[in-house]
Amino acid sequence: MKQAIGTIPLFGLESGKFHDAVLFQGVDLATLQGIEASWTPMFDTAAAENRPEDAHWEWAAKALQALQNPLNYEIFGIEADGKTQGMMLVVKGGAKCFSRHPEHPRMPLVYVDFLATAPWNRRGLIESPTYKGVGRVLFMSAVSLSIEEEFAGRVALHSLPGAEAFYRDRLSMTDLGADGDYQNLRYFELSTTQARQLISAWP
Amino acid sequence: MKLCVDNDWLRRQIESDPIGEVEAGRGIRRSADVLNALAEHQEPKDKKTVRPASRSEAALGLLVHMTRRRDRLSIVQFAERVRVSAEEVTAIEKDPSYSPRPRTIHNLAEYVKVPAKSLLNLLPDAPVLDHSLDDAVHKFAASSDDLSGLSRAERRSLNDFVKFLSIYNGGTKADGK
Repeated sequence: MKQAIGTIPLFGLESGKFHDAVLFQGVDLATLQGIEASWTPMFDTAAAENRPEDAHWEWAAKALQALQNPLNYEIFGIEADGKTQGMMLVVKGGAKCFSRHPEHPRMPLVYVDFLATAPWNRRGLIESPTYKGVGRVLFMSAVSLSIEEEFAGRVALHSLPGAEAFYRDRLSMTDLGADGDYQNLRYFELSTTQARQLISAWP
Repeated sequence: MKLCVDNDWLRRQIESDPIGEVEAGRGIRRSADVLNALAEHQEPKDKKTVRPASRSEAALGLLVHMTRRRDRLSIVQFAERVRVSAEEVTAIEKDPSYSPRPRTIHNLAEYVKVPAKSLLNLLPDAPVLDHSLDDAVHKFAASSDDLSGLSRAERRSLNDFVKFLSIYNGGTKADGK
């Protein structure tokens, strides 16, 4: 259910050098428990009394079992220092997996349902983030999945407001405007041409 | 899966990336958020059972079934030719409300030699009904019978339906325009 894809680099902002991390495909109960133990308290420090009890994890284990072998999505995670540094859910089929890009309207693509980094890696939450590169690696995993699915690297997502510059300027995605059907978040697509250029980019 | 770029590429890009936010899509703050997101995308297996299937919803499954019989292919053999999983071919044939992945639609269209856009109009999610398509589907469905090989009449019916799909102005139904 959860398997390692390989070792990838993350840039340690305190050490000023790259550190090894592992990119995983799939999710297990330990990952979910790790998120609850290390992510959730940083988002909501007052929620100690609301932490999940054993019954929650029994339910989570059953839910995970029922959600195995999905046909239309893949979940990725990055682990370093024994913690999940980021997660991404990519959908391969359904209404959101058709391109709105003028280069190839209605062509199939993969849609990033969520891309989330650990709270200690977020500039918006803490002053000195731990790692840089989590979003870049996860996004390239989505591009790789798109290629594997024969979608030529096409990827779509709804960016959170603080991340728009990253998708527009650093990943060269096309900004197709605010989406009234999705909390007015801006919708971005990486077209076939942009995917090709991104992969061949060498700064 | 293999990454399409190597670690040298990643290092160079990450080095020049600014320290900033990268979040996209729904917010993930606790384990339940992840499980809820996974459950939401489990649609093909869960939602299909609660929706009644109409004749037009069964059209794609029937088209696949008849094409497979015409070419005398088992589900596994057909899946290999179309480059999708046998599980998905079975789901398309057996479950009229199953919505295949876009890649499957494109591979099927390539195999049957009709525009992918036409096949999209046969999906249960296609929002606007088109009477000419429904008429063709009804005629096609009425002519089929589950025999091992295609009879001459069934072959003609399949050919007629494929011909209709290949010239069908399919933008209307799937686009909802």
